[in-house]
Amino acid sequence: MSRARLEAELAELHGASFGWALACCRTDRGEAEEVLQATYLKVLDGRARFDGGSEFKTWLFAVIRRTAAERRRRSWMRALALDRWRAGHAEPTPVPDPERLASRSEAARRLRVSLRALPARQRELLHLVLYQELSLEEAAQVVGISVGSVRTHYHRAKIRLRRMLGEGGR
Amino acid sequence: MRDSDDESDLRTAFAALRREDATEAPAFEALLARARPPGGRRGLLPLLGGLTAVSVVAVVLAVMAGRRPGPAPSPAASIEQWIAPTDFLLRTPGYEILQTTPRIGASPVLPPAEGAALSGPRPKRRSMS
Repeated sequence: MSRARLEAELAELHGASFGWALACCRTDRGEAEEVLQATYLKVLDGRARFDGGSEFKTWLFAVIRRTAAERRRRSWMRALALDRWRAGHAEPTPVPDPERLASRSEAARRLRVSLRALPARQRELLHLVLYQELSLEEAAQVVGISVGSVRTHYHRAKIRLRRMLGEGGR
Repeated sequence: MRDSDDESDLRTAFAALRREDATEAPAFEALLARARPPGGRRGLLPLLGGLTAVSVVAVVLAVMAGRRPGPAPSPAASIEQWIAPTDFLLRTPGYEILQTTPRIGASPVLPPAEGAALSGPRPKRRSMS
């Protein structure tokens, strides 16, 4: 695929990619931007090559997910290498911007809080299927597990999320 | 395949989330511009790497050439010359006497010349006839 074509594909999927990067970075906007930037660089440099074996979107999402995981792993290694007192502060909880919080609706805020409480695998699958509107097969390709496992995790995630949203609404 | 059994409520909630995120997404062009390496830098990095490798090899070769290997000591010689740290304990008084073969007529304590002088000429044996 030519560079111009790649850029066009990336531009088309930019909004969705940013949403997925946010989900991979636990809604830390700064980190999501860095992950997305690193992903674009990988794709345009040819370090990540699209072989046409799947949809471009699912392939790109898999690259974003891997890049976020690599980044997280590096942060952990750095935190381990640093002094013990610093290790506790190496992964600070992202502080949301108050203006951004104010502009968000209450329902969306509750949904985000509930999603954050879910296990990573369940959170990822809910995002891919309900937010990105991927099929279970496509979600399985992105996450790299079988469709059967995706179905099970997704089903459990929906039940759990509904319960949490119900509890939060009371 | 879409798993859409009674999940419209969740889909609606996620759609609202998606709309919110879309307003916060950074501009694609800006992100791409930051992702692009500045011109010339990409070509400079391999060049710097190559130069570093070449200079390291040159330094190693120079050090190796400057070093002149001396004659390697033979292992047999080194074993022969070796002296144990407790060797002096074996040198007991009178060690020299034990190391030399005694001769008839020579004093075992004095050096051979003095020993011979002190012993003097042998007395002539008288004949009984």
